[in-house]
This record gives sequence, structure tokens and C-alpha cells, in this order.
Amino acid sequence: MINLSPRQRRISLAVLISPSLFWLIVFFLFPLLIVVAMSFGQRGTYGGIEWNLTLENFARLADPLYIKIFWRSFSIAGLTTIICLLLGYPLAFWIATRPPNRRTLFIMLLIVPFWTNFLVRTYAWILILRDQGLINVAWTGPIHAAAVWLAANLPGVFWSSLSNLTAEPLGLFGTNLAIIIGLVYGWLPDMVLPCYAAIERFDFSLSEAAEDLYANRLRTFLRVIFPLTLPGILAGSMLVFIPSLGAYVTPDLLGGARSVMIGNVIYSQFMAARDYPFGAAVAMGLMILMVIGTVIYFRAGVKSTDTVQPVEAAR
Amino acid sequence: MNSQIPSVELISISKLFGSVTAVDNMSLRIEDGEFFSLLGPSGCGKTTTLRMIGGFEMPSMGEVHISGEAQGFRPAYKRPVNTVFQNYALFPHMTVYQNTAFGLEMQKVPKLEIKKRVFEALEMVRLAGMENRKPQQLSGGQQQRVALARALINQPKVLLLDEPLGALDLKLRKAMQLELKDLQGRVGITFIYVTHDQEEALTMSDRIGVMRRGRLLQVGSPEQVYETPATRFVANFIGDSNYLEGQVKERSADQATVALESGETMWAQPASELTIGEHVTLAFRPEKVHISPGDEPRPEGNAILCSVKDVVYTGSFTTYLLCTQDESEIMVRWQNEAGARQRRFDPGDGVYASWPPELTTAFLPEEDIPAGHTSSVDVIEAMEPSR
Repeated sequence: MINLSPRQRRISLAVLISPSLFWLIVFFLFPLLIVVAMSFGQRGTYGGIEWNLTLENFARLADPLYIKIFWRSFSIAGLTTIICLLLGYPLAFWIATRPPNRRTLFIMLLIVPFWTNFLVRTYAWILILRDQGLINVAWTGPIHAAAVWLAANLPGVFWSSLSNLTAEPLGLFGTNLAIIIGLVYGWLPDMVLPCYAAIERFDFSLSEAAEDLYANRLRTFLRVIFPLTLPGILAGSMLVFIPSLGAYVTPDLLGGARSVMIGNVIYSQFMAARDYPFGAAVAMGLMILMVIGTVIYFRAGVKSTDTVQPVEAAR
Repeated sequence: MNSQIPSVELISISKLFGSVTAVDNMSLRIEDGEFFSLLGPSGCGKTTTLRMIGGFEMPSMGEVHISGEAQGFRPAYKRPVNTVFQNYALFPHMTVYQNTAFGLEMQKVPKLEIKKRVFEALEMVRLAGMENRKPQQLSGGQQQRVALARALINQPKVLLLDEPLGALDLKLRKAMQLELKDLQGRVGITFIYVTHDQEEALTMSDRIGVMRRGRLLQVGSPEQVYETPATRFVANFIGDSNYLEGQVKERSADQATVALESGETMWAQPASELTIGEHVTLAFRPEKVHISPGDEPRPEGNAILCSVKDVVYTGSFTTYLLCTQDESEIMVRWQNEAGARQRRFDPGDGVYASWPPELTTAFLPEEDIPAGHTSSVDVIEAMEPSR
């Protein structure tokens, strides 16, 4: 590096970071402060904001209705994260253990669908999940016909109850399940990529060492592979959980009246009810819960991985 | 000794990676308590052989026996052997204690006994007091010793070592060589040691197996492989050698008479069956050659008239590079015993190079590698994806 005096170094540092700092202040910090201020305001009679300091909006959050929505949002986001992990980690593991030239191909295949607009892809799920959709056409069509035929020709309650079941569509659309399916589909790559990065960096001579020391495959995974790829799991889980919690498009398109999430509440307060202060308070509440959750999560994660580093030190 | 059950026995094992033969029909018997080295250039199949004993690769053909028991397709975690890996493969998220205890923990040894044995094992490798360090807080030599303790604590029947000193600097390496040899004597466990370093193999081993292109060329004590190499490759790979080309003139029970292209007659020990008229290479070690002035009578035994081309003084010995009349080069290494009083030769001097016929070996030209075998680089590449 070029020799600079401490003063010159300070100046060059300031020059280098000022554009991004400017950006963050004007377009992130400033709007955030507006939302904070707004959440203490009151809705005007004609939809404006009256700036009289009040905690009324936060008190409204304690309403069982909103607590229920918060709880539902957390459950949906949590389930989405767990399903993404259960699907994504094995996939990432499989890709990371292919020959190097193949890995790039598989990662590409994973990402390619996401070049299409998110709204369009979510809309496609409506066509799959609705009562006249792909799944239900098969369910009430060929599967129903087969069940009826089998019930007529084979003994047992199973086939007759199956034929009764398949007479009606599954009613997937508009449920929490539909939202979870949509979210898992949407955020799966965000789980796979960090897990892949962690597994790809994993030195497989360590799993051979564990095997050499009498650990079978399950124990090798639990004691060596899992702890050493945990940073990827933590990062992936955050990348899936946070956007799922604040999801708006997916529950709006795939969910029904009984599966509203916080994102939809915030949207409706701002756009439909024109209650900016309460919308801001909901957004604040979500943010505070997320920050608390993230801190706890990473504290716990860091504790178990504090000295996990690549094994380069051994060289 | 042969009546005992061998510690490890390989019965015509082969390993194929796709169309590449990494190990080719290899049979070997390693006795109990032996320090055995597998020596060869990279890609010769020595590591693959070790991995087949350890259970990380399964032989394509043949059988691996450990303590008289056929291993079949038994996985690594069920074999009574432990391995010291090339890069140590210490668990970076565990302390020295946890690393060392891992094997016993997996075997469900009671906690108190684990504790006792971990302290004993760390004591043995002189790492007492380091229990709570993480591997990355240790030096290379210390990490090496943790890897040893982690393996030896399980009291395996056989310890496999895959170039364990490769990552250390020269001085530490020399010290560790002696330490390892000493440790092996104390624990009495069979060591199978893979290395490409001939000096390392000569220093530590009871016996050495020299490998090339998946085949075992020679098995013997360090003295045997050095003094009576079985093939030209072995002579070349272990230590330095001088070579002269010639033709077999006469053949007796234990000696061959060979005529060089320049006309001189030499005597040599045949390394294999020779017939009269065959083309052979004579090999002899630089330190066995004596130099005498060219104006003195021709010495007894094998002798050839040369001129001195170059003299290099390197402290404990002096290396002379001689040139025969038909431009073959002979290297001579002379111990500087007599100091400055020793008779010195200068470049341009005419001299006799002479050496005893019983320390000269006659080889047939190196057998051609059969089609289907690929270069060592291909073997390494073929092995890579299996990791």
C-alpha cells in the first residue's frame, strides 16, 4: 500500500465511503426516522397525520387480532425456513460433492427460474393450486376415476374413502399451506446458496478422519460436518426467514381472508385505510421483533461456531 | 517370524479408477510391529494402497487382511486401524482434548477412562498442558503430534501414515523422523508409512516397498534396496547412481561380464536373468567409486580411464564429475576424511575411476509400460473426484 500520513489516510477513507454513507442516510436512515416519527402520530380526519405524540398506535398492536396475525406470520415464516432447510441442505450437499465443472451447471439451473418476474412466478402457483388448477384437475380427474374403479373391484375401506376424498378438490388455494408452498418456492435458492458455499469449503478429509476414528456416517455428520457448515445454515435461515416474515405478494396472491400476514396489514393500513401512523407502528413492531430475534439467533449460532474457520492453519 | 499371523496382508489387490489402474495386482505381507514404508513418486499408487488398508477405498480385486481377518467391504469406522492424514485433518471446531478423545468417545469408552487416556496420550507426544488449545493455535509440529495422539490413543493394530511430515520444514522434519521411529519402538504398533522421500524411508523403516505405476518393484530392508536395487528405477529413485551401457559377454552363477561400447570389460551382479548378447545398463553408487591418478597402473576390478570435468567441494564430501572417453559421465562422492592433506584432483586431470564388481548391478532395459496404463498425472486426476 502507498504510504500515507494518518491525516491523508483519514481523508481518503472519508472520500471513499462518503457516497455510500450519503446513500444510506438519505434513502435509508431518513425514511426510517420518518416512519418512527409517524408511528407516534395520529390519523387525521381526512387521512393526514396529526403530529401529537401518542402511544395509541402501539397500544392497538396488543389487540388479539394483530397478535394473532403476528403469530401466524412467525409460524408461516418459521415453517418456511424449516422446510427450505430440509429441502435445501441436502440439495446443497449433493451439488457441492459433484465434480467442480458440474457444480456451476447445477447452481445455474437453480438460479435460472428466478430470472423471471417474481409476480409472474407467484401467479403461476395460482394456476397450479386453485380448485380448477393443475393439482386438483388431476385429483378429481384421473386419480378420482382410478380410486372409484379400485373401490368397485377391491375390498377394503381404503379405496372407497379415497374415492370419496377425491370427489372434492383439495382446497389448497387461499390457505396457509398455499402461502408456505409459495414462500418455500420463492426463497429456496437463498437457503441453498449459503449452505452450498459452506459445504463446498468443507474439507472432506475431516469426515474421513471422523470415520477413521470409529464414527459412522450419522455421527460423522452430527459431530463434524454439521457444526462446520453451521455458518451457512445460519446465514441461509436468516435470508429465508426475514423476507418470509415480511412477505406481502405471496400471501396477497396465494392466501385468503383467513391467512393475512403482517405485510398485508402494513399495506392495507398505508394504502387502503390511509392510517399511516398505525401502519408505521405495525412496521416498527415487526422490525423490533426481527432485530431481537436476529440477535438471539446469531448469539446462539456464534457461540457454537466461534472458532470455526477454514483449516488453512493446518497447512 | 513367518509362522506368525501378519499384521497386514494384501492378496493380489488392484484398484481401478475408471479405465486407470492405480494399483495393479499387488501382494504384500507386513509383519507385526514392523515399520514399513511405501515409497514411490506421486501417483504411483502408494496412497491408494494405504486408503484400501484404511477402508477409504475398496479394492476392485483382491483381499485386504488385517491381523489375519479378511476385511471385505468393511467401512473405515469398523477397521482396527487408525490414520494420520497428510494435512492432519484435525477438527478445527474442537480443542486438542476433544480431538484426542474423539475416537474413544465414538467407541463409548467411559468418560473417566477417556480423561485418563487423553492425558497419557498427550503426555506421550509431549503436548501436556495444551488440552484446551484449538488446532489453529498450534504450530505445524504440534498439530502433527495431536494427529498422532488422536490415532494412537485408540491402540490400533496398525497405524497408517500418509506423508505425515510433508507439511513441515526440513529441520523439524528431521527431528520428527527420529521421534516417530522412537515412538513406534515404544508403542510396538505396526506402522505403514507412505512417502515420496527416499531419505525419510531409509532413515525410519524396517522394510521399504518401492512402488511405481501401481506396482511393487522391490521389497526389502533399507540396505537391500539401496545396495542391491532390483530395477534401474529403484536404483535411480533411491539415492544417486552412475550408469554405463554395455552388452553381456559371459555369464556365470553370480556374475556377468559386460563389454562397454568403448571396449572396456566390466563385471557386475545381474539383477535378473541375463542371456549372452543382451543389452544391459550397469549401475553403481557415486560413493563406491575410487579415483586414482591416470599415470599409475590400472586398478583391479572395474576401472575406466576418465578426465576430471568438475570438482565441487561441499563440506563433508567432495563431488567429482568425471567424463569417460565416449562422453559418459561418472559422478564420484568422496568423504573429506583426510582434510586438506587428501590427494586432490583438478579439472582436466586424467584419472582412473574404479569400483568393486560386487557393488555393480546389471539391469535389463526398463520394461515397457503396457498399454492401458496412463501417466501418473492421469492417475492423480482420476482419484480426485472420489474424495
